[in-house]
Amino acid sequence: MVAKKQIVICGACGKEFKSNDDYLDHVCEKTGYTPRDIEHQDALTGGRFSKISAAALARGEARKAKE
Amino acid sequence: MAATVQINEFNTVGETKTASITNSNMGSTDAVNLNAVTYPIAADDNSYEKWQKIEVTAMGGSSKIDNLKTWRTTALAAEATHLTNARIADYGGAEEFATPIATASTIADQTMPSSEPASANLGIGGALAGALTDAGSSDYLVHQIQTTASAVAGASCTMNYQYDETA
Repeated sequence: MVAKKQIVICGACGKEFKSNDDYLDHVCEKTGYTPRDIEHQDALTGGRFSKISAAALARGEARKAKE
Repeated sequence: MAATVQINEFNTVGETKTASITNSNMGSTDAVNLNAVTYPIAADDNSYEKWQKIEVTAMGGSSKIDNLKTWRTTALAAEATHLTNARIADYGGAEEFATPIATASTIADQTMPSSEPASANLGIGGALAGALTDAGSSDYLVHQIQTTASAVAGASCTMNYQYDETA
């Protein structure tokens, strides 16, 4: 089976990549971080992502405690 | 540390992926971040389907991401419906990408919830009980706006994408 070629575009800086790994490894010109860094999402959301993340962690831990 | 999560959209026959989208504007073209004024949905027509995924780009020391939920808040304009493949029961499994269409979607055939679902309605690995323990993506979320001939213009809604994270 031949792997499908797919273009990945960074929605922040607009750069195009030939693989998702290349995209994930790039330092975004708009944020100064790679998409793997939490600071990347914080930069794109005006700091809201950290709050979203904290809420997600609270929900997950609460569910875990109930199990 | 915590996981880094983003929403991606996929467009055109090439399944071009735009990572970390900033809106989910629905309209009469198959494009990411479209301008709904430039590409309005005519009465009795449908929007192009949106094909989106939730992607974990790094676990950040956490062990699990699961319980994916998606819903819309704020009412649509009259005579418009928002349909999706997301559902909390009888989940259809992971959809294979198909070029987004503006005819009535056969994949998005459930009403998009207008409040937080009681349980996961978007799967991982084809199952609502699925989880990510490393970087990866959800199943495709497919959604579409459909209108009748009596539809009136304009609605600005909020799409909600939610996940749970375990340390």
